[in-house]
Amino acid sequence: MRKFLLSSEKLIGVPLVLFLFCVPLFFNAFQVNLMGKFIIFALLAISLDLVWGYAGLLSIGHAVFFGLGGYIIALSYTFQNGTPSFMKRFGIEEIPVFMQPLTNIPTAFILGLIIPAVVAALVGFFILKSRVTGVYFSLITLIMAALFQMIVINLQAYTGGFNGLMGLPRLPLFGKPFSLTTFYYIVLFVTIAVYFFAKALTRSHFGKVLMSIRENEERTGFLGYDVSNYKIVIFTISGLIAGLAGMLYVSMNGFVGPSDVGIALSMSVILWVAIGGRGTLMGAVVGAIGINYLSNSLSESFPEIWYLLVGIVMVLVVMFLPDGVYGSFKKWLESRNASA
Amino acid sequence: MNFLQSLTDGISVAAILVIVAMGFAITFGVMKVINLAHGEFIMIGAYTAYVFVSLLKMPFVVALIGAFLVSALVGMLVEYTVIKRLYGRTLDTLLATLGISIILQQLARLIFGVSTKSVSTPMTGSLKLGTVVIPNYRLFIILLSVILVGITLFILFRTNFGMKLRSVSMNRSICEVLGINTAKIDTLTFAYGSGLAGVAGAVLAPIRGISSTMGIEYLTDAFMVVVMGGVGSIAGTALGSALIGEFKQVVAFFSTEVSASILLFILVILVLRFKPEGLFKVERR
Amino acid sequence: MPILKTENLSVEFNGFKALTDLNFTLEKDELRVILGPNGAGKTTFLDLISGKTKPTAGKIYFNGEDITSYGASQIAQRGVGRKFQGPNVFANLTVYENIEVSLKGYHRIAQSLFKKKDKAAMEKIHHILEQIGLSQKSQHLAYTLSHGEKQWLEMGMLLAQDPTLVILDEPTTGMTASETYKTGELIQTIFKGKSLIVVEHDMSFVRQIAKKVTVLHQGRHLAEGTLQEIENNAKVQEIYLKEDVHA
Repeated sequence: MRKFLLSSEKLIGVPLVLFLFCVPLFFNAFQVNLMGKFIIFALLAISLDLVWGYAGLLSIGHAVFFGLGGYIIALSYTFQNGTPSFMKRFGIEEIPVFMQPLTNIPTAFILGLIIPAVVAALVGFFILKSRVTGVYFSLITLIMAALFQMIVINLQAYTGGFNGLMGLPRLPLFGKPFSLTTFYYIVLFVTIAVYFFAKALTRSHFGKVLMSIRENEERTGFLGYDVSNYKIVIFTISGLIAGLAGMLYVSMNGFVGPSDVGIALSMSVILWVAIGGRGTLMGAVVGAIGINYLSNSLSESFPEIWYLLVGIVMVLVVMFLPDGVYGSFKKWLESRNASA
Repeated sequence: MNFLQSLTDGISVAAILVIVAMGFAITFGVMKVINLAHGEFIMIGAYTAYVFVSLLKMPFVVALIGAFLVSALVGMLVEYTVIKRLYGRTLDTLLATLGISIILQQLARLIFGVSTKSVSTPMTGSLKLGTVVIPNYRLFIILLSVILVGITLFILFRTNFGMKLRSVSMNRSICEVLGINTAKIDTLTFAYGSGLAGVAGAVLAPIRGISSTMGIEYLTDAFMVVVMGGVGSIAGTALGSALIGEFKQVVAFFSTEVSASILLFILVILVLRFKPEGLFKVERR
Repeated sequence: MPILKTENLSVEFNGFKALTDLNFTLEKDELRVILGPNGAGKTTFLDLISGKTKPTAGKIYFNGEDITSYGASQIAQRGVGRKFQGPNVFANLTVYENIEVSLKGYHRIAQSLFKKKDKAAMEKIHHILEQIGLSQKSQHLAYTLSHGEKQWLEMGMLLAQDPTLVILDEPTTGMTASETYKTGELIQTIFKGKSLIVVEHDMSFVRQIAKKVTVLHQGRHLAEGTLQEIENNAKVQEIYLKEDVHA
């Protein structure tokens, strides 16, 4: 039996990156835009995998951070054209004071990283410094997502309500918006950079502590670690990455709406990470890009049953392949290498 | 709109919540299963009512019974094939029910299409008590909720099955040692909870439109009732429903419906954080 | 100064008095075995001094410091290492990683993020792996180990913590006779220079390691002395050793 010298990560990751690199060369603008969004979904999936796959915290409300980042930058874009019409409709003639900083796009970009992180830290502090663990943590995140979505829809004067914000450019950080191809590569590089950052984080002692918390939280406490602090830190980092993803997404999509902050998107991310394989980072990437790509190509041929298949696959994965598709492949490869 | 009207509306909202949440509370309380597909079982009941009433032109009562049976059967199937194999793995069960909710939603979409279906209200007219008006159908719902609670309590406390169910929820391992078929109890419990959800769906069908995505809203409602009222007691479910129903209407009376919902969410989060066992400490079911 | 001291330590759960007025003193470098029938409060006592449970009355002093209100992680940071009943290792981490994460000196978030593992640290891990006999299996995931191996891994984790007070709760549960004997030897070598509290049922193991013994019964201090004194103590015989069939 020949031994594979490469790890599963390289086996899957390298061809994937090469493929993604070549996309603008072989596909049309619409498809490049689509792939760009899928890469951003992978970024979002990485953020969830960090808290769920590594620290064991299932957040059913991760779209909140995604949406926060998205709306912050979207508002900033909208303010470039003066006070938006949806505000004027409610009698607000001037951009409110607390939103003034958003008129400057680079400032808004930084806020789009900081605010989701701060919200994550506060939420983390609120929930995790109590005896609330496991499932109850997930339930609180679920309710928070529902709450946030409702606020976004109903604070129409400030968020554009149900209609959302449209006509958004591609991150004009330095004056001019980026071209599609340039922005696509920016997204790709940012995602790869975050991937390596996440990898380094999980390989560090900090990452090992997270995994111990996932395996046996109480035992980790008895080793001398203040478990709640570790959870809050990773939750904050995760929130920041999700916020970054939200900003990139909105810039690529040209539009943001309440559906980008709600429970449905939160559950989709969970699906991607679960099916791809949690606790492996590459699994999150594979799940996000794979499911969205397949969903897009198959939904044309089999529109009715594609999403039904996703549901079935999810159930099957939870029951029989708890390590996910990529995760199982990784374990198989490792055991093969060990015995070769 | 006067305050008394709000209070009365609160009762009818509470009645709806009781019916919606009871099945969820039972599966959560006895089997520790968080069924994210609970809303879809309600949807199944609603579509069943649509088939019986709008398509087959049968009486509403038949639709109610049919909804119970169909949802219970689907629940039995789901429990037997999926839930049973994930016994003890709470988070995995939650994820699996997520997948199942998608499956059920898509199946509904395939069978019935995307347009919203409707069922006409089986009774019209309303009762006028002083300044308060209660539609007859709402009275029916309140009555039905009381009957359902009564039936459930009867099953739990006066039947052999109910006794076994309560024992299993208190101490599963001892029950197994005593020879009780806990697997069968689980299946029947889940079927009963799903059946109740089906009845909720049928009852609510005339009030809201029927679509494949109607479930999420009811799931959130069921969650909130169970969080407030505590898991593991029927009385808790009833009290939680009453609390939420009245809270919603009363707050809406003083401001808007939206602020009522927002405040309710915040209240639920606070309860989850500070009193995860619920507000009403009722020791036995 | 004694390394551990409790004064009138009591804890009550819903009216049930698990421990009442327990006065206990452990000197530095001492090895104490705690005996008592099931329900005597032995594990509850360990829970209290390791911070898992809060007492309802009384005080606990560790190296002179009042730790009565401290939580588990704070007490562990001060040098108390506890091994639980039944192997409590991190199943999906490798043997190496289990030891690594137990290392003393990385508790603070900044430390765990930025402090590098120098050669000394890595050598220490390898040394511990050798001492517990798991060097060959260092890359294996912990759940693949046998029951006895998991118990030794957990002892290795304790070693990595470098505690001054080691608490062992029934360390030989589920072990074969030879594994039990090896554990006794292990305890006497690797935990040299540390203070130890050992809760045990297996009398042959107790004979192998015990110097001074404390007997608890129904949450109270019953007797204390050498093993021989305890075995000859009439009160103890009446309650405990009579139940013990084998020796």
